[in-house]
Amino acid sequence: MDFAWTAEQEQLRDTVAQFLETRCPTSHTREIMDSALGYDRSNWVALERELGLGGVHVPAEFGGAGLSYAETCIVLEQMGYALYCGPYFSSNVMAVNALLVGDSAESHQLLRDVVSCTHTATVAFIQQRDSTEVECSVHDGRINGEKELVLNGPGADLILVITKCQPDSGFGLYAVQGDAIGLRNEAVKSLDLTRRLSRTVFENVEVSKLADWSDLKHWKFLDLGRIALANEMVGGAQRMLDSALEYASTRVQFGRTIGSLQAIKHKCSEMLLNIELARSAAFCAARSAEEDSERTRMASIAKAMASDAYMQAAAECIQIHGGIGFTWENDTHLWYRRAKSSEVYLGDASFNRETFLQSIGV
Amino acid sequence: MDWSEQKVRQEVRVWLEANWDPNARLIDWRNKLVDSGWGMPSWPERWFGKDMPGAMIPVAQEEFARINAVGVARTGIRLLAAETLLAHGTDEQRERFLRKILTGEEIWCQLFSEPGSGSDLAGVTTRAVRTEDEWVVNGQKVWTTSAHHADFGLLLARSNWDVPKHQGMTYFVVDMRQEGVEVSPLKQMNRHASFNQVFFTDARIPLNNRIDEEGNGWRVAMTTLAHERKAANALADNTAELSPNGTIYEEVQRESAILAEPYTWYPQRAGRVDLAIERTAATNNLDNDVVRQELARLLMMAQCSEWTALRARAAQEKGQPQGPEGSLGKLANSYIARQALKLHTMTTGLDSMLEGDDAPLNGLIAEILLSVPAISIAGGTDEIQKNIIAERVLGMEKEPRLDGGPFRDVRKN
Repeated sequence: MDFAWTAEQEQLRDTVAQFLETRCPTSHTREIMDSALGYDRSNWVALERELGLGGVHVPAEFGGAGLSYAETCIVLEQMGYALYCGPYFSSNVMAVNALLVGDSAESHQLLRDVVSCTHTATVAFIQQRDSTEVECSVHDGRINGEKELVLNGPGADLILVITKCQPDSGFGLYAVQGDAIGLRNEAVKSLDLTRRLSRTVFENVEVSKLADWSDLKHWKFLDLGRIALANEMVGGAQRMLDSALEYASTRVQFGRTIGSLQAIKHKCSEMLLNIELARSAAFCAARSAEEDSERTRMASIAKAMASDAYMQAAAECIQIHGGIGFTWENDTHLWYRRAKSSEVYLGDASFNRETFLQSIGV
Repeated sequence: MDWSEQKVRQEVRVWLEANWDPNARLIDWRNKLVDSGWGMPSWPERWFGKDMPGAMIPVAQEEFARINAVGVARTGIRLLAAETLLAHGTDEQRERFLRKILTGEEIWCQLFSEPGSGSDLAGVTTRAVRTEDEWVVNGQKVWTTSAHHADFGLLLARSNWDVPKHQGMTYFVVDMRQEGVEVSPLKQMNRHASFNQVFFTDARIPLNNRIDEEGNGWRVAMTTLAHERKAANALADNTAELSPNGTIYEEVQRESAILAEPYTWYPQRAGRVDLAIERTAATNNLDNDVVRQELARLLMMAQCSEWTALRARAAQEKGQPQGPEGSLGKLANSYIARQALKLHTMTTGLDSMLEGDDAPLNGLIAEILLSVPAISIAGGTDEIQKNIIAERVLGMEKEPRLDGGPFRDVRKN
């Protein structure tokens, strides 16, 4: 494995960074995160129309860029850095990964719609955990039940449901239109203000089946999600370090910048070490996402390292800012919220450490 | 001179075919090698080298390795001494010392650290006073590897107390075999004694053993330390000597056994990550979820640290400036060793109360528990590494200093 990005990959990274810096500054994010939809749809569409990022790792025949998953991860790292507020991860990564499993004409068409940013899509796969009564299932082309913690669920044009289908009780991937009769897509208050969540309640909603969904497919879907998310998290963690450094170099106390104090220096050095370790894991995972034999091990290392590094960086960034860092007006809490919800999504660090051991046969 | 790979390979091969003899006396072979320039081919032609570009060294080494030909002496700090003399010495000094460094006839040690100056190396207080015809040295050095074997030492001493600390030091070569030099072993908390204390009581240094100008000692010491960092990476290459047939190998083995002895506990200092899974299984902890979490933490850190080093190397190969990897890698190793110590304690349990042949693995685990504290101190403490990372990598403002002005007036231990 070559342990550096290629010149083309670096160029992609810089292009995305520049787009996000000019089009998605935090001041803009603060406005749109309180809007009805919760994001700026025109910016999301521009990611495809202007940069061709609608389906980075999707084959050209479905309208994608035909690159590898590593390039998708490069995009996400920059989105994590900029705290991009929009349905890119949920739609153009998670939903795309689910649709790539399907091989029907319908799933191909849906894939094209998502890649072209005509439709937003999201995957509903988390079953309500505090109830055993409600089980989401499909019978005779109709779905009943609930799914929760659906990423960017509010306002989604297409909901992909991974659920059991009776009577054979195997799992399947199903498509539900966002305006389907009997669907209640209820926004819930998300801790991460820049990534909204919904609870989807299905009452006899008409669905179409896109693919059978085995355990193996589900693990691949989750692992790919973990790898992409880990890269996004490394970007976010780097932003927290940069923000802390910027503040530490300007804030003066006791007649000196606080950045000249060893207590602050040592915090920042530790942040850098943990970020670099997590970055290496995210990098290697991004590069081996297509390898079936390596994916789970790589994804679990990347997600575990990123979970710890991002949370530490966000918490220390607040600490280094001191009182101002705890205010609503200061932007740090927006990243802290993203760090916390990313920490637990798709398995927290402990879960992924256990997964890692099992993946190496221990 | 044409330095193509093919040319180098052929030249070395022809020379070795004509000269290599596995039953020669080691000293005869090495003198021949030194004279040929193939012992240190990247050195100047005038000084036992061939002015060969550094990139070709692996090619020459391959040719030596192919037939197990013995190279020049490289162990200990001899090459740091040689590089320092090449960079700062006089021709007379190079003439006197370089050959016997390479043949292995003379052993060297490095006299930098003092009881009162550890992290703050520039705070040395060993005193060098110039009389009419020599320098007279008084003071104490510490953490000196191989001082009890050494013929010569690289000495950093204070020669002027009335200028700022970095300007008042001078660098010398001191003869270790004289009355005014007393060497005593320094026993460590893990029972090993890998280092020495060196006491100077009116030790004598001839005037022509001063390296570079008076007051330039700090600059010369930086050269030595730069080569120390490089040598640390190369250490592993030279400790694994093969022993094919030939009397010369017996001599080489005797030589390396003496000089490798101080390092036998170094793997334990790094935490013995290689034993982690094995020990977890052997102590029936594979189904202990608490232990499993710590095991996974350790293995992940070690793996990510390796990847980080590979990323750094790849970036350098692409011509990007050297990144923070040196200090970051050292810091990572400390964290990994401490995590390993935590795991070994958990798996070993109450047996962690034992040492020596009453303890698990004939005392190996106890040696890990008692050696890991060294890794975050030796070669620059974790705290110093963090300062370096913060100031040189992250660009944070330097700490205001309290040690300016004449060194005489600076607060000391």
